[in-house]
Amino acid sequence: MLTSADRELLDGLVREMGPRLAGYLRHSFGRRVDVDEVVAETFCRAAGNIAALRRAERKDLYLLRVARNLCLDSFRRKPVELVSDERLEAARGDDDAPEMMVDEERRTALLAAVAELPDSQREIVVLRMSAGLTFEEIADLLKMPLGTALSRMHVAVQRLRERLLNDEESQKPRRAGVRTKSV
Amino acid sequence: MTACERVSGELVRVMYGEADAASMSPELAAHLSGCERCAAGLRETRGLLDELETALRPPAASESALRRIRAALDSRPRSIPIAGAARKFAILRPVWSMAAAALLLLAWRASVWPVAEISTPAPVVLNTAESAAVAEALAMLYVEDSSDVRLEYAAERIDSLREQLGESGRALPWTADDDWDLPRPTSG
Ligand SMILES: [Zn+2]
Repeated sequence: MLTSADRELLDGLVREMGPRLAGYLRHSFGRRVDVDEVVAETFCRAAGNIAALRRAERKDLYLLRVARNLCLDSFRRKPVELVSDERLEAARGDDDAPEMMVDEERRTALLAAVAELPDSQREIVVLRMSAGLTFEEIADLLKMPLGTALSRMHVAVQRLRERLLNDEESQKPRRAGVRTKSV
Repeated sequence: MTACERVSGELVRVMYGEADAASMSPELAAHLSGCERCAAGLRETRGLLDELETALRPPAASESALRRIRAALDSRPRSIPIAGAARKFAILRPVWSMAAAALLLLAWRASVWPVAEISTPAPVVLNTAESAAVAEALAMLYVEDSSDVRLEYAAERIDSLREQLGESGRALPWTADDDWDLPRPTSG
């Protein structure tokens, strides 16, 4: 039975961590998981073991770990089930940030390049840039030395840099190297 | 070692915010003012990280998503989560649809379970929970579309199982680094 304090704790975490979990899952695992379902199930698991959640010093890391394990398990359970494009688009529609530092074209290219990274590199990029974890926290979550997390990040980011530069050069030679804004 | 290589460790830490740019070593500062390649690398990487942060920024909480989570919390039965591989396996087994995994499980059972009519040279005797845990970890190595993350996870599982079994003097005949051939059943 959940006490009202448990309920309150969960409610706060749902609001604060729900979007962060969704962002992490969407960018790390893409269409391979049903993001909303994994987020919902993550909180259900957390509610089912509320003592552990209460004990966890870093509740955000605890929830990320549960969500990650659910994904890894679901790969085994239904390895080729894909979320439909429409659904993915609908999910994307949620995050139209009002201020646009990068134009939509550039953003699409970035996300495509991120999606093409090897799993082990992409997850680190997403944990750092989307979930906002420090490298120490990433190393702890993924059970690897901090140096490994940092060097994988570096390899990944340099790969993105190269890839985006190549894209620009092949598509719009005159705009190469210049960040453009749509008017 | 080139001058660029000498400063690369610190440069990478500065790039990703693990070291404070304001208090970088005089050596790195001097190198950056003289080496356009490293300076451009730092500048462009920083710019790309800013863009990535914006592009990957989690969406604002949508009311419908929050409602879905709350509804799930209210309606789903709560069980103790992730209470050991055996329990998970017991839950998952009925929904497994992968023939390969099922075959693997059978093969593994046949090779390690102390079943009378099967003769294995020195069977590692596992209880049901252990057997399920090993089969589960092995199965993860055999699904199609293997991802690095999943392989790492499976390897972790196998390593910890080896450790656990080793404590009671039972040596699992494989390691996570082995070339993973399906264990073959010894009877037809
Ligand atoms: Zn240099």
